Amino acid sequence: MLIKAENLCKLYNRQKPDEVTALDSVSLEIAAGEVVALKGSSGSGKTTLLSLLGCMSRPTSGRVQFAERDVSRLPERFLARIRRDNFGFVFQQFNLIRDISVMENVLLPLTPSSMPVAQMKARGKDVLEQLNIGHKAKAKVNQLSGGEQQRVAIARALISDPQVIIADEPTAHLDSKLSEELLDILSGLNANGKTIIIATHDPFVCRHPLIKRTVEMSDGRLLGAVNP
Amino acid sequence: MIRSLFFMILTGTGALLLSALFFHGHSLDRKMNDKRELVRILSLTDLALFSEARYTRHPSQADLFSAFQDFPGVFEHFPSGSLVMPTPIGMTRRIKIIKERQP
Amino acid sequence: MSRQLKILEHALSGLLRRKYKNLTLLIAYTFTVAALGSVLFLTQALKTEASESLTEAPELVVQKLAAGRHDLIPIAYAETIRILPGIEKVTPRVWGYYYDALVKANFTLVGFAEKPRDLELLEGRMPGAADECAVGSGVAGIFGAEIGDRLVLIDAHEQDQLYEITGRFKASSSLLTNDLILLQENALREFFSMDRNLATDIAVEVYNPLEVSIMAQKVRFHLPDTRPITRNEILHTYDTIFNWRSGMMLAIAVAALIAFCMLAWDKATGISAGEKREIGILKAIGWETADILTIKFWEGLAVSLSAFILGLITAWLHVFTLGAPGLTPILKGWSVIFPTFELAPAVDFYQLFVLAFLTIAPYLACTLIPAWKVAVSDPEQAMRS
Repeated sequence: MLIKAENLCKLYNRQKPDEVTALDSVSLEIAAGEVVALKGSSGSGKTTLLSLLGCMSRPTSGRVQFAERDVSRLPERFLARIRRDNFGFVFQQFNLIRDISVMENVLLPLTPSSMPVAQMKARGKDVLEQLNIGHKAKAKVNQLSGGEQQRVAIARALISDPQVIIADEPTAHLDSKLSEELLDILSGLNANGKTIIIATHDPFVCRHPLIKRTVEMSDGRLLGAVNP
Repeated sequence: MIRSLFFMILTGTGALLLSALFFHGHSLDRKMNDKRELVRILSLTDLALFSEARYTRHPSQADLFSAFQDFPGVFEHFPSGSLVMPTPIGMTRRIKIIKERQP
Repeated sequence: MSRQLKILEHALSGLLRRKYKNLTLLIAYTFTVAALGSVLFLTQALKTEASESLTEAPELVVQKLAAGRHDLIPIAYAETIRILPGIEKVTPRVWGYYYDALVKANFTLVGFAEKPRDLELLEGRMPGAADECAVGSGVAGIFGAEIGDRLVLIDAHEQDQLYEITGRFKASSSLLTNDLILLQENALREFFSMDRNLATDIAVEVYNPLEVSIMAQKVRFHLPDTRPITRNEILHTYDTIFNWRSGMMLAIAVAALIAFCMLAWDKATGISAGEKREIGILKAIGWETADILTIKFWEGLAVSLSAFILGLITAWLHVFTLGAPGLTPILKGWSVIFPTFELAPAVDFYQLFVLAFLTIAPYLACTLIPAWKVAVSDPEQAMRS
């Protein structure tokens, strides 16, 4: 198993009057090369589970293993490295930095590395061309349409050639045509061996042939069979 | 990398300009020999900086009796010399100038 | 190096994205450094001027005291001093003050007993007769007097005394001569109605400069009602005076600095939601906390270093090119005539280093600490801001 989650719990505002249980005893296994959809309504804990699986936050209790290594209690600097080297995130709100160009956004994950600038730019150009958005490399992000921004977000997620792509509600701001295009892109990535985890409440995504397994969530818990 | 290059050039230029100003200042002719000659010939003891009162005009020569002073050797004019306006009582003398008429 | 340049590039991009806010901060910061720098440059230059020009002041000046106050000294005391071993020359000095009620200015009248001579810093010539005088540039300036004009002073008997202006000290010597009116010594005695057996004080030169303090003690021993003042004491007086005078201005400048720190702190502690979100995004895509802090360090350094350099250049031009017009009103106090500053630049690098530390370090701390607090939190929470 590439990713293994055991009895994950996540509490926000712990021991305060407004304490919230975002996840409650969630266990899940994901194999390398798999495509898994986390399905549930808003507030079901999908984003929280994605952030734990993607080493973006640490669980209150429970364990997360990545490539047979327990990452749940690692110091932040090690988690950051694991994130940088293995995960690519596509956020619901895209989370691109406005007022800088597409190319600068895409190259952000590589900026603190020691890769030379010329090599970074070459790789960025490749990735943008793959996603048919190379002609917008110098445009500012706020000049792009929703679909173009989505592709820039994916390009940024791919720039370090990660093993795992994590996408949180990727079709939330797209029409059906663009949603179809997005899922085609993800299919292509999966065909190249990438593991994909998608959080969604969009039935269109869950019905797509790309999705091999759907895991339902409600109130921070998983419903039904969870392991492949 | 244009921004970082531009910033480094700008900062470098500023630092160089500052160094040049320091160096230039250090190498200027202060006319110190002429000033020392003046001091020696006229037996001057103080700079003509603060002419509000005799003890500010000649601080090195000021006697121990000065307004508000309460400790020998302490120059009291630090707070009051700059904050209290002097009021010369009974001083009525004036300087007049007779201009030399040009032929 | 390449990594640092890339991070610097992104830091500068971030600064430019908030250009109006950062420009305002840069201007305020530059102004604070310029104010502090001006104070440091001016006081250092004045100190240097005093310490270098007054090295030719009399080695010893002997004053007479009566009831704790300065009193005129009998000429006979000069004879007592002259016969002490080690004394080279003894010269009674006649000088005093003159107050003009119209312009409300004090002038220093100095008597000169030797033969007139040419001086590099004197236009015209020294007074050669009892009815001649030389004046400082401040005196000439306030009355619009020129060489050839007559100065009318009222003497101790309320009589007008006319003196032809034969010389005018150059502006470059105004720190020494600004308020001077130089007369022949006998003429000044007449003017003050000073007894021929008295003088204002006595200037003493010794053979061995290392023995000045010992000579001072000997004078004090033989003439207990006198107060000898050594040249070192004169120079030390100027050290402490400029420390205080600059202290007053430094208090004003420190107030500005504290206000600036409060502004910077307010800016830093209220790290905006946008900046928090941006830090969260960078963390999420793989930036480590150290990388975030590096970017914030470069952002802070870019602003503070630029402000420091610009501020110092501004301070330099303000003091040494323009003559410190911003500080003159504070230094001037109630002086009516005040010398124009034509100061030769002098720099104390230690003070500049302290200034750099006091201005750059707090700003960097104000930038880094709030960023660190966000950077060590989970990126997911930061992005929710």
